[in-house]
Amino acid sequence: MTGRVWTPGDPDRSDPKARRRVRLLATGLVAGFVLVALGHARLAVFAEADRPAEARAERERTLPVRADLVDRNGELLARSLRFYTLFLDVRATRDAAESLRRIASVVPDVDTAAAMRRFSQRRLGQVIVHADVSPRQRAAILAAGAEGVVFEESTRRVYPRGTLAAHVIGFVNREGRGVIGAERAFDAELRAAGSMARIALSIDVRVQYAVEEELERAARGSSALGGAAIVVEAASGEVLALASWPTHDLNAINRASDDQKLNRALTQRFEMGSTVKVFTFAEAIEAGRVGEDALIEVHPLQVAGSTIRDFNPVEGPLELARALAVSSNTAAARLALGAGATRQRTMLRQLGLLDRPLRGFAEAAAPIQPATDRWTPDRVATIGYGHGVSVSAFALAEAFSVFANDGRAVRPGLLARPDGLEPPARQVFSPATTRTLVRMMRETVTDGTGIRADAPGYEVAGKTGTAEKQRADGTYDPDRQVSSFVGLFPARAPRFVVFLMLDEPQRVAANANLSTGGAVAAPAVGRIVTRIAPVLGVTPRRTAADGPIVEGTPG
Amino acid sequence: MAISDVQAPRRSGLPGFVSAWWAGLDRVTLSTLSVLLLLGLVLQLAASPGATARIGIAEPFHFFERQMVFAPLVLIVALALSMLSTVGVRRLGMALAAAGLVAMAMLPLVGHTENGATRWMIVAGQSIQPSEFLKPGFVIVAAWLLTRDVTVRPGGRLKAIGLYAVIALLLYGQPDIGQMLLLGTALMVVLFVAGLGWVWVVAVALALPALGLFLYSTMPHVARRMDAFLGLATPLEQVEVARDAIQRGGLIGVGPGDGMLKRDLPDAHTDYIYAVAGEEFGLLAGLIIIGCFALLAVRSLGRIARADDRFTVCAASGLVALLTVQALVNIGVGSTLLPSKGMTLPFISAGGSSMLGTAITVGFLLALTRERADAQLAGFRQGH
Repeated sequence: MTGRVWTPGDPDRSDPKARRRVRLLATGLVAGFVLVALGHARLAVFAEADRPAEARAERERTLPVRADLVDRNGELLARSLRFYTLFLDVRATRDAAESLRRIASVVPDVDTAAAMRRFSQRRLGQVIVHADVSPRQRAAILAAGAEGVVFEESTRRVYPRGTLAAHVIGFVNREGRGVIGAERAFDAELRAAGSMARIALSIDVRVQYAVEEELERAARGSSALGGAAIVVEAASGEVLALASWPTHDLNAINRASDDQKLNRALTQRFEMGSTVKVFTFAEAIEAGRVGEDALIEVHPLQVAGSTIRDFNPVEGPLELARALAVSSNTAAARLALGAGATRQRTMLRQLGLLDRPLRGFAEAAAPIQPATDRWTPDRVATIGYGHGVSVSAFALAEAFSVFANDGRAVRPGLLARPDGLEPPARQVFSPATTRTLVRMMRETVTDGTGIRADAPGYEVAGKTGTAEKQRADGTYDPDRQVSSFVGLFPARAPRFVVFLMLDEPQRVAANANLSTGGAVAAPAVGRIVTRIAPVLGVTPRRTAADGPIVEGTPG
Repeated sequence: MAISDVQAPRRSGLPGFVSAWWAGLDRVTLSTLSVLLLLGLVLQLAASPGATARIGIAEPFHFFERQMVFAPLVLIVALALSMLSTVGVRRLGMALAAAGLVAMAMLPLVGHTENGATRWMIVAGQSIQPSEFLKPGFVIVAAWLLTRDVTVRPGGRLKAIGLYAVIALLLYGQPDIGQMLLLGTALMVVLFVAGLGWVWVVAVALALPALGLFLYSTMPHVARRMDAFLGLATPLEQVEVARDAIQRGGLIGVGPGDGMLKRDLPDAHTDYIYAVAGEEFGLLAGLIIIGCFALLAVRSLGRIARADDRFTVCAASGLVALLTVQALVNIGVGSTLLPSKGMTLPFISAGGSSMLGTAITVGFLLALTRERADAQLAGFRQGH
């Protein structure tokens, strides 16, 4: 080495000032280490005090994560899924093309060119890259090491079955709150239960599917404006199917029209017509004013200045069962007048026909009924055969379940009922009365207006209904009808109620140019019964397909 | 390897040298180094599967396996370098600085770009980051420039600062703001220990905000990270995840292998290895890591303060600053006390260049803090 020779360890070069400074440096570094240790401890031990973490937790708490909706057998109807909106933070991204390439390796449908364009137009903030990234994709994007990515978490309600039971399930708004249907009725429960739980509806998707298909077929086949159908298990009060047509896809709710979204089983009310006669007949028998074998006049009847006639006049007097089988207005009016306003109102109230059905469902409409002091004899007579009180399809099916339940009225609901738990019920008619009525309604199917509702082996009993709709001026329009059929099966020991209703069916050739309940609704009910009875565990009785009703359950 | 070629004959020629070397060695720092290397192995075992999955490396324990190679290598290199004489440290340091500077200057031409930064070059299939080797070399050169003469002459200072300016410019161009600031800090420490007037110390402290503002306005990603850190912008994903990991770990951690968030952490095996430690082994592991680095600093600086050679004092202080400030920044980022800044945790983070660079740093440090039986020996060994 040349020049300046440097010798290590030369005492002349020792420097006390340097030592002080080294100690100062040591003190500073130790202070630094103590600081980071305290910082770690603050996070790890006193996490609650940390504001950003709290804000993050808060954000997650407020996210609308709802419980699943499932059918009675656990089939998924609605689920909330987390998803993310993916942004690229302009200033945090050094190489946007590289980040986008890594993103595209995970989500191939990303519009890289558009994102790149947006990116190059901005110098600050965030540009959207993809509006729908799943949690799995998010993890993969992070794993791919894409720089500058920012994820905004949201949840979305997904309806895996699309249109199935659309009106029962309802839907949620952007904030994830239920707007209508079960989503609204059970909103609090769904939100409280969180994503770990599920709420089971009474609906059976197999039954629901058959009902929706047959309803659509009947409605399209008769060019109806709309229709509704309901299946109720009478003893438990569980609604197994509730359908409204036309329907919509819950996953594309923004494209659904108001007409499609209208729940015709709950919201629309109609003067149901002849189906109501069953209740009038039952009340008369229950009160003992007529016997099952009694004969009743069916000639036209004058009440308060107006004349009541039958749709298809026949020679009377008729046995009660015949009068029901031919759907005689005059017989029903006579029986209703026999009961009087008070008894009639009491009976209808006990059956639930004068109250709003289905608590919790805001779209379930209250019936339209005359005020108590206007319950005049002419009204009593018309109400007796189904005019004067307008009810929803649901309310009618609910009331009719009394005949499949030995005279007990239940209030059906849309939640699955735990096994063995009996619903509250009120005895409206005696079991003997309802058995009599079931026999009479069986005759309506075997040899009356409802003959096309029969499902061989399943012994459908029921009643047709064909009601003319009122014009704006209050008169009735014979060309605009509400045609329905209410049935129960199996008649030997009724368990299930099926109601189907069509709004303004047209007289088409396929239905023998008829639009009556017997022509358009009864066949649909028959097909529904044929399809759902095996699912519901009802075994067909081949020998008694068209034979007389056998009392009691077969031994 | 060139190092051992030089040293080996001398060692064999002087049988007493080995025992003298061992007797003079700072064995506490050596033990601390070993503990940190072992911790590194454990943490790579934890971090590797997630990190490899995210990068797309098929072998899940890739980083652990590499660490199994590099950890012993670090120990060997450090021990080998610890045998150097002071002048040997100086010479090797200058050679490293020269080689590193040349390599860095070549990066714009032959460098390998990753994530928008050109910091690496590929040599024989291995990715090498020259700045990692330049760092200890620069500290040695700066200390030498400042202590060549009895009195610190402005000329030495200016040369040291000028050299730093050149390196800083290269680092800024890569860009590698973290290394730039780290090296600046080390230079400040060397200047400080070499007796920089307090006026200048205060002046630099006052200039720091200006530097911060400059970086903020010229480097978008720096600005983004600062905004996120100050709460002006959406928190960065990795910062949030690291914070959650530390919180989730609590006092004693969720247990080895049970860490979940480590899979969401980018650079879990390098920049965010501390958060992995915090999640799986909790505050306990954090305190052990912090304690090790604090011990390394206190122990080494304690010995340095007793040294009677100004070059040793300045160079060793600078080397301690390199190791500990880098550790402080990594831990500060990992525990989200500092804004996101990519910096490895010495001895623990994966990465060959970083591991070898720190091995050289700690090897130089051990050499400089070695107690010599008599100054004559050192003088004899170099004086010809």
